[in-house]
Amino acid sequence: MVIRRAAMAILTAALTCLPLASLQAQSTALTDTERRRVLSHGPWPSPPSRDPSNRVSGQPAAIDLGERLFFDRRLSGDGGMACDWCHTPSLDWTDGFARGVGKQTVDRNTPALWNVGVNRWYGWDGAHDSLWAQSVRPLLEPREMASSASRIAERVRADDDLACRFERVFGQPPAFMADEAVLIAAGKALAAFQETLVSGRTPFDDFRDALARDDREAMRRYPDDARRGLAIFMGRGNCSVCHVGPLFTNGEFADIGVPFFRPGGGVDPGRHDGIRRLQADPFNLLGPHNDDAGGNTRLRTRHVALQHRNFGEFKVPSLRNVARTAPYMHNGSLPDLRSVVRHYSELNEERLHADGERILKPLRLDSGEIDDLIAFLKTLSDESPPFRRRTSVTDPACRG
Amino acid sequence: MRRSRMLAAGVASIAVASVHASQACEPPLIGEASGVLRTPGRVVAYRTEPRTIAVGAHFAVELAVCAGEGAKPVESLTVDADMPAHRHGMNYRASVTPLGGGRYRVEGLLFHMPGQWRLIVELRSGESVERLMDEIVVE
Repeated sequence: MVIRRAAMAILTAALTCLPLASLQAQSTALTDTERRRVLSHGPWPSPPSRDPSNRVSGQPAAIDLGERLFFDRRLSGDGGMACDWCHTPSLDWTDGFARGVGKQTVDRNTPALWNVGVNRWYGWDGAHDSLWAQSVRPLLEPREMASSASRIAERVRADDDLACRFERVFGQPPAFMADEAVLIAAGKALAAFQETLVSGRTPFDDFRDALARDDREAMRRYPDDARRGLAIFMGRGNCSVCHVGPLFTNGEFADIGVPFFRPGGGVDPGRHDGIRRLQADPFNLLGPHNDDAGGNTRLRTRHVALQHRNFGEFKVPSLRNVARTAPYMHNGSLPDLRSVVRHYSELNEERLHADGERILKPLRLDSGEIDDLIAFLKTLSDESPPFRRRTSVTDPACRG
Repeated sequence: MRRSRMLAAGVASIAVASVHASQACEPPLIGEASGVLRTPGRVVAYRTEPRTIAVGAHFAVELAVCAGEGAKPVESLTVDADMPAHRHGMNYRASVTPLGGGRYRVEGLLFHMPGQWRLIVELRSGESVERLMDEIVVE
């Protein structure tokens, strides 16, 4: 189900329409196929990995610097907002608004940052191919933080503590770096910090792992309504065609019939424009700022294909912590999970792209099934304690 | 991942090819083949890297072609894939690098959904185009 950001597929092909009735009864009676499908959504969390395109990915000093920058309002054009203005920790790294509000209201919903480090594409339209390039975008966007490379570089150089930390992480003082190099370095430090925002284990993960070790008592602790919802999710609903794997997303894009007219007029072309912008982006992974010289990180950008069906496609979001990140869809037009499930239940096929996904059909769920699917989706959220700053802007560590 | 049946569909004919000819040639694939596709005149063997294709992960294909006696050599080839039941293909355009001696390396493929995919290989020789397909099920 492409909730916040994309597609729930309803697969009518016989190949994937497998009965999951046994899931509704006893998980111990799962067929091998059903069991593999459940297990494919884990384990969680995934083993930590570093981004080869970012040479400071995973480095503690870079994470520390990135956290400082994330909350540093001086980086914005007028010094009035930092990244946390829209990606607020207490709001699951989003803002709760339908559409993001920076210097102005923008056209799209603010994505939560949970597990953002393991995406393939960034933004609703995938216009960026790395977290560090995506992190630079809102800094420069006039409607968001409205800053510039020169302004950011100037502010980093003027702060002895930040300049010292920059030098420790990147090997040279920002005073000797070009403005653009400081900007890119800031993006890479911001990315290193955001890579640490990994969601915790959920009731679904406990069920999934109990299934893996055939622990029937632990499996029975998973609520019956969630189990029925899981059966719909992976069976008749075929939500897991797009919301696949441990992240519950295939990392790609889909048109699910959400209107894409912009509030101020015109249309949001979604992925089609995203690919064009990606290809024109001097900070993409084909450019000189990719630290993975000759590596595989270039593959996706080199081979992505611009197709007519990309019009109106938006990113398939991860469903981890989905219950806490309302409102949903690329434009924030659906206020809660119930309205999302109803969207798929009553899908308006006339709104779908003519070249689009053939398997999308109205689910026609009854009220009990809607409740069950919501119950399942709620089990994809963790109960992690609130984020606490690990750094302090007044910490003089580097000054010593 | 499992591979089901092999299909070969000639889009344009190579009049001089014969079943005998294709059976006689051996594609110069290095390593164990994931699939072998045959036309009356040619044989294509391929191997995916990694061997098991995962949903949402790029993979490559090492591919080798041979032409049987009387069949024209392949001048170029393209590789693509689609999901017939979903009426769409990949979101990526694969690139083909000739390695010489009838061997090719194909990069940039990515199956973004579980289900039944068709790997499509088009062989070109002059005005002639042959399309070969292999069905691959990705879980």
